[in-house]
Amino acid sequence: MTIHGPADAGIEVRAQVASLLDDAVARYRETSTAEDLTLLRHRLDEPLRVAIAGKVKAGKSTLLNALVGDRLAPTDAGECTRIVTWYRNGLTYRVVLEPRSGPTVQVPFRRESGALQFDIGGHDPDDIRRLVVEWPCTTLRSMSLIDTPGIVSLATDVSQRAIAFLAPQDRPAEADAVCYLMRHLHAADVHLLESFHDNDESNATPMNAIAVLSRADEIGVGRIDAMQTAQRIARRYRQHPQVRRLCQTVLPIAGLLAQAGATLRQDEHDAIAALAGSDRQVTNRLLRSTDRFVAESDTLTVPSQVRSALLDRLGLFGVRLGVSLVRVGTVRSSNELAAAFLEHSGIDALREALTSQFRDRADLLKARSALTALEHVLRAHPLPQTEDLAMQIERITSRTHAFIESRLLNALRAGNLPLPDAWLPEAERLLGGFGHPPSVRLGLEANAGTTELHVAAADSANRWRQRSEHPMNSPERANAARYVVRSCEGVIAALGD
Amino acid sequence: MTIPPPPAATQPGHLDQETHEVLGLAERATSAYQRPDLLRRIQQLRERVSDPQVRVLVVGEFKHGKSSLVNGLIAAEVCPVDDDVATSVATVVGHADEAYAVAVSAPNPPGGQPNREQVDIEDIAQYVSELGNPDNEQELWAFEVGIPRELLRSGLVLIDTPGVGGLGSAHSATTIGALPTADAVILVSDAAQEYTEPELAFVEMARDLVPTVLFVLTKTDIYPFWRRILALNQQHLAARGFDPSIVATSASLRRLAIAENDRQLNDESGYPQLIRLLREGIVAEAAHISRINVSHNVVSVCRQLAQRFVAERRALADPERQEELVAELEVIREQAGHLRSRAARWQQTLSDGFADLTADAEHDLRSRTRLLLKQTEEGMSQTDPGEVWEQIEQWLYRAAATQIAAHYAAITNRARALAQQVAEHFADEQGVPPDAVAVRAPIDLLRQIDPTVSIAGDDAGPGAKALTAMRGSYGGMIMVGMLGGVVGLGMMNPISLGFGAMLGRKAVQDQHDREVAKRRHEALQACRSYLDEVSFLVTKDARDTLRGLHRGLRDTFGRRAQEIERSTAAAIAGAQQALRTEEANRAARLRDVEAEIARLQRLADRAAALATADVASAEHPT
Repeated sequence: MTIHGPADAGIEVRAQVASLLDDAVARYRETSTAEDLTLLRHRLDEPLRVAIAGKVKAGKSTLLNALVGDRLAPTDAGECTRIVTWYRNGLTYRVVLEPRSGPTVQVPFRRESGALQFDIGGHDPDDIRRLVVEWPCTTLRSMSLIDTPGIVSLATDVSQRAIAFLAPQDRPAEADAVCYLMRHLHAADVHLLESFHDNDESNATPMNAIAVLSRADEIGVGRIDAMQTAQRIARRYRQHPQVRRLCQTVLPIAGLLAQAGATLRQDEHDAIAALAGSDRQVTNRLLRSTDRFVAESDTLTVPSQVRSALLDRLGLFGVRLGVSLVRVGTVRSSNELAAAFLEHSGIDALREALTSQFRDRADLLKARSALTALEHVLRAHPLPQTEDLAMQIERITSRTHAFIESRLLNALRAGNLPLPDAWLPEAERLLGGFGHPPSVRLGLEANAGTTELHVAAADSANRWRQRSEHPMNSPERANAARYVVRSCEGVIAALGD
Repeated sequence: MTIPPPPAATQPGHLDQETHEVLGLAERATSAYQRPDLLRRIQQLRERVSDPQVRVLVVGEFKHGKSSLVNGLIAAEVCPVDDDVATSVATVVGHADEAYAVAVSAPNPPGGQPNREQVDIEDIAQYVSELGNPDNEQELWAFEVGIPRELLRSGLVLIDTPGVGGLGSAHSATTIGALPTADAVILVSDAAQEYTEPELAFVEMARDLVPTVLFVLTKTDIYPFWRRILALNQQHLAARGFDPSIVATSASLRRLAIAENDRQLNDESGYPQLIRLLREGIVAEAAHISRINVSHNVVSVCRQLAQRFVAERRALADPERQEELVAELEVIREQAGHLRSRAARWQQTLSDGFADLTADAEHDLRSRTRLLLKQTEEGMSQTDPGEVWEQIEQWLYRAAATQIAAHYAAITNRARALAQQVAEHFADEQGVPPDAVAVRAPIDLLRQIDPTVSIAGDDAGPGAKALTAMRGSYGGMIMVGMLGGVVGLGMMNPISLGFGAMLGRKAVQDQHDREVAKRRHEALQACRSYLDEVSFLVTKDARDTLRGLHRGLRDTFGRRAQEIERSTAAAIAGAQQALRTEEANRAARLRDVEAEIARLQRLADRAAALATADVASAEHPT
């Protein structure tokens, strides 16, 4: 049984926003903004747009490949993503280049040992608005992924392109949600996260951002227990107030391992197995450093160039992990090895978070982006007869409980929610601060039964109703508590009968 | 008169035996010839050059392996290394015959001597890392570790700094502040990625403040593409005009190599190469500078001592022209006397220079504060300070600390250049034989503007005072000023924040605007008074520092002028003594005088040889 709390609410908001946009398109029919509005309207029906952002070499492209399960985004040791690149579901395989002005061009592409390669020819990266890679693929059907250039890049114009895309100053953001990758939490990371965190009341929310501690295997310097360390660090970041104000959660990912797990080949497994089967001491000495690993050796059956290719694909951590898994006998086949890699990489947890935070709330997130964009259009190009449109936006944003929830969570995390401290953790949970499934909101195990959920939800609703009705409350406190009650009722409604 | 050989020098340091001997001979010569003024100069020189410290700052972004590098260099786990928590306080590792560790923290009451608390080496993590001491709650300034190591015996001091750019830290500012006091900087960057803009900006700043910058690539064991990264980094360095040599290292391999005593693994770790660079590049270079310093001073002292005998010899050899000689010497003495007077040109240069410097320093600080204020205003106009006050506060603190550090660095550089300029006057001064006054700018004096804590600890000279004042402004008063601002903001009604939802959007929008405007105003006011406070304290501190420097330089150069005058007086006395020498004794006396001159010449030659000694062949304690 899957229970998606606010999904129905999302459909409702989306419908409201859709008709509002239809109305706006009609009113602006004769003007130059009509086209923008039409695009905005279409966007509501398209998959959610999730941008993958982060500093240079944070592993954005690798993660994208891991999520798609194919090596679409070019990855390289140097800085390589220089243009904002969209990956979306398509009927055919093609790569399209959209210049800032002029017609779009199809770009030739080819596969080179499994990795997609394309060539932008003589185009100046500055004149390219974006590249669009259309690829028929399951992941992309539910959300379009957008690979962005790294921030604090040495080529600072590259960095500027990313910032202009992710947090534009003069127009609404094109992405509905952001997956932010960082190797460690740097000041620059926080700054960037803050720019996503729009200060406009209706939009201020960490709800559309997930932070990813990427290249997690390297945090533990490639040691076999590196992922446990990364988990611990992620947990610490999750509790950091500054981080909590900016994003929903922090998850560790070993991107390379995830990518390898998603695209592992039989011969790669065989090479790992051969290494595991060789003399223990010889292999161990080999695994000490990447230089040693690819060095020529007479005693090994796995040739040097095979080892080198293996290293490119898995990283030293992947090889160490693979060898040790095969040695202890946990893994006996290529499929099992791929599965083990995926499991260790943390990608499943990220997928789950993407699903529950983004995909299941796609309608809400898209509606929110559309409202912000429409608001922007109304402000930038006011027409005499559009005041009621602005009022309708107000109405939707102030009445949609999901939007209210995210505002309250913001206030709560900024320390501005007028509730007693002892109530705050529960309020945060019920408002969806830790995730939206009813079991999470109610603080129960994921496998809790319907009855248990019902009882807990009714319990919470009652407790918060009493709190909201306390005669000594300030009006603000009573209001806040009432909204928590409303969240509990939302859970009850989502549970059904 | 014979000069007995000095006892063999046993103390550690980067000075070699020959330099010690030359200094010993010079000390004996100055006392034998009854020149306590010159003796004092040599003694001070010895004190300065036998300060064995060669400070190497290890800098870089956090979690790039700075602490591991220091541990690898000294082959001991002294700096705590953790995958998660990072170093939050600078750790100063130097030589000691017996291992010890001391935590140096803010003086209590403020303004006094820093607190020094002996701690167990095992407990260092608790003090140094972010976990045991988050945001440096214990107000530690630095952490000193002494450990018996051959590498450090030569005077090398490794300073493990907190990472640049950690979450909400003022770390990078304090590191910049320490730059002018360092002999070298090692920029540590891991092989995961090429240099980023902040890293390169940092080394560009360092280049202006530190004699040597070394580049180290770490963690080469786990990054298969480290050679690519190395090549990319070399391109970045070359493009910025650096010598693009980078040492590739792996602390893991180094650890294994030590544990298993595996020479090949050790070579692969890159550490032997780095150690060679430190020894032959940095330590030897520092020793070389010290030797040049000794050489110039001893040669100058020898010439001054010899002046008397040279005059006497001339008088003895050519009795006819004795009167003429004395008259000539009188003119020189007059000129030397003039050098000592307040109207001397070097005095003018020094006073004018410091007046300009003080005025420029104030202007520099004012423009820095104005820039900060402008940035604050700009930032504020885009945000609601009620929501992001904490970040504004942290940003402002960081930005102010960086500007202050840069301010002090600018002052130090200017003062250095000024001292050089004054020293040149001595050589130009007419009538004074230039070779008699090899006056060198007392650069060491300037090094005392020192925000890092000396490993030797308790020097309470003017430098220590400047240090206390600066530390005070860094950590103490400024924070107090800031907190005042916070209290003011805290009084605001926070309840209205984020509550648009509850009151209906339209009504709130207006009130929201008014509220935000009010909050912005209050926040800006708080920032302004904070910057005022900072500017007030720093202006005062910088002025005091400059005044102290001015005095120090005036005294040093004044003493040089006095020495010159005394030497000329001695020369006149020598010539006059020759006049009184009986005809019969003249030949014998001439022989004695020749012998004295030869003796001094031998010492001067030995001293001169120090300056030209081949650096590479200089002996190192191994």
